[in-house]
Amino acid sequence: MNHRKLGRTGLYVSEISLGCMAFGRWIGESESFRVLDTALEAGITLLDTADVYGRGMDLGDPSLSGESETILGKWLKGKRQQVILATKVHGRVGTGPNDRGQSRYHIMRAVEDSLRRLQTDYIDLYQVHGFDESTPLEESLEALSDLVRQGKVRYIGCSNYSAWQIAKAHGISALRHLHRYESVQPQYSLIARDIEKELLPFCRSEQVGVIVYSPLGRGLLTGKYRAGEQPPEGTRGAAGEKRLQQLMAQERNFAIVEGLKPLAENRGWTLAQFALAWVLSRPVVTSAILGASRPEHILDAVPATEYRLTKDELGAVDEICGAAGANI
Amino acid sequence: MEYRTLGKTGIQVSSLCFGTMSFGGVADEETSRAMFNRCREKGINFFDTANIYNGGRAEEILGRCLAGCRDEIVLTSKVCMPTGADVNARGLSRRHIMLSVEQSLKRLGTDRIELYFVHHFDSKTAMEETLLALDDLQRQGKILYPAVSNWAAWQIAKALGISDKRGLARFECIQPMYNLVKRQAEVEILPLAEAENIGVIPYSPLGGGLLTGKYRAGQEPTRGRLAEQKMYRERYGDAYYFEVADRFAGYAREHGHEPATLAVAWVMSHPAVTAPIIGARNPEQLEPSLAAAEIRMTPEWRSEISALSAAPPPATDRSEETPRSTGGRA
Repeated sequence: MNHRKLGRTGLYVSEISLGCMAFGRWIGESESFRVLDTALEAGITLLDTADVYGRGMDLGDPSLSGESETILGKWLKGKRQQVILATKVHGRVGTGPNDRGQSRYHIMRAVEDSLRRLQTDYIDLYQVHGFDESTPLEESLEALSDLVRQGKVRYIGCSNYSAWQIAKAHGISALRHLHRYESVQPQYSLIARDIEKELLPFCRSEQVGVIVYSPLGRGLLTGKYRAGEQPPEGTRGAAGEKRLQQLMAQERNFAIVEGLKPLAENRGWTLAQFALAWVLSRPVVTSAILGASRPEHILDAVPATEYRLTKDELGAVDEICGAAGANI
Repeated sequence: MEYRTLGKTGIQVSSLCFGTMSFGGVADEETSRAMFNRCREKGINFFDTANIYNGGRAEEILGRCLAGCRDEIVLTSKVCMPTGADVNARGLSRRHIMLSVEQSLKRLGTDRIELYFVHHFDSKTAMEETLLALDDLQRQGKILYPAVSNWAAWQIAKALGISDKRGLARFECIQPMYNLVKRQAEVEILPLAEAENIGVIPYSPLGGGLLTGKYRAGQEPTRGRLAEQKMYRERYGDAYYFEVADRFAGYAREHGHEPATLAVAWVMSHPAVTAPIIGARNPEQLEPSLAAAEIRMTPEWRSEISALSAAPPPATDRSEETPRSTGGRA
């Protein structure tokens, strides 16, 4: 496994990270443990979760969140030093008026809840899960910086921010001598390349780490889903994940998948490996989050860390995406 | 004519801004003056130019046009593009900015420029250097406000942070490209401008003429900028743009409007937009754009037209994990 520096920090993280959203949501504790053991064995160090991950996301009951962190916490015993632990705050985790967002009040309580569930006394990367329009950035950044000074958090990052919003936050951090967001977590894959326009140039210029989610387009880039056909049993598609259904409704995405298949076959790689190798070929990307729900998902993906696309292949990919009408 | 407040400056500007890129180029002085006078008749008080338009002739002609009404005009100009072969005759260094503003003031025959735009991003010059120079110009009274064109939203946000930290004049107006076929500004630039209360004056509301209805899908352009200039062909040459333009022109005519009028009105109707910049080769071509001032486009009407082209994907797309609920409701 290769390790890359997270933005300008001195921290090295594995270029594939494990996304823990399935734990407690789609798979139970013992299956989650098998996935985690496999990931650790494969050399993955960065584990990404969030306080909201759990059954509550599907059941619409925010008080049922936290299962992913709880499972991760049980597994972590005796292994804490071997991993880099990332979690998030922002989403609704209860029905009260302050059970969400990035007020100092909620951040301070949310971090304690996460630490308790994770059974650790520090989080390596604490990320705000989205932009909070109802809290001044100053308030959130002061609170997050205090957490770094208290030793509860090592680095702070953000997710789902526009480039200008991170730039604004950096300005405030510089002005007030606070810690700054050292990473961002956007969506990025062969069917979602929008961050090439604004966010990636920003991250390159400002040396911000980029940990991308959905590098396989929520599974679409594995080739296991087909246009107009029912998703195979036991997949996320069959579980009815809403965002995946939206991606499957766009013909363009299947056109890209079909166009890429011969390129992957040429190399003797699976489509998923090809898609992952493409993401990792981008110089600004730090790590790609693999949202595995089975050990095989990890075993299939790991060889991609040794694969790199040639200039010709990168050109061919652009043509396929462009011809399908992707926003690149 | 409707007048709008430019960002947080308090200045009232007409909801159309006239762009003078044709002055001294495809429009001679007499034609230019006729267009200027027509704009004034319609109540336009907002005029945009740049030091490089037609080698400085645009500024000279505009300067002569506004001699009788200077104090009623909100005037812009720009700096950054090469003005000569000299290695330093370009960019956003303090040296080039200080020289350029003097030259612009001289050509414009005035002692101040209301909005002074950096025309492009200059990766060779530190932002601090540029912002300090612009701040000095504001204190010298040679410009009233710094403004920015063709920068990425994050570059503008970074500059705002530097201005804040060092107590410098900040960018008060953004000039992005924005029209029905080029909607990238909706992703970052326009939300930034709204959040930070910065004025927005988009250029190319007609997509280089594409949205006037004079070009047809599947037909090679024979006249106008898309036929004459490589830059516009590259910017708008894709088949997709022509398809949207066809759909849009059909829609406009069905509803009894000139396509150009509706295209300008659509840009004007975005809540973050202060005033689209309209341009023309002659008074006749100017009229449909001017007519946009009479149109009050409701949000529903705007959405109907927006649906004729593809909206750019949002900057972030993780709605199920981060519900946008605000306040106390569960």
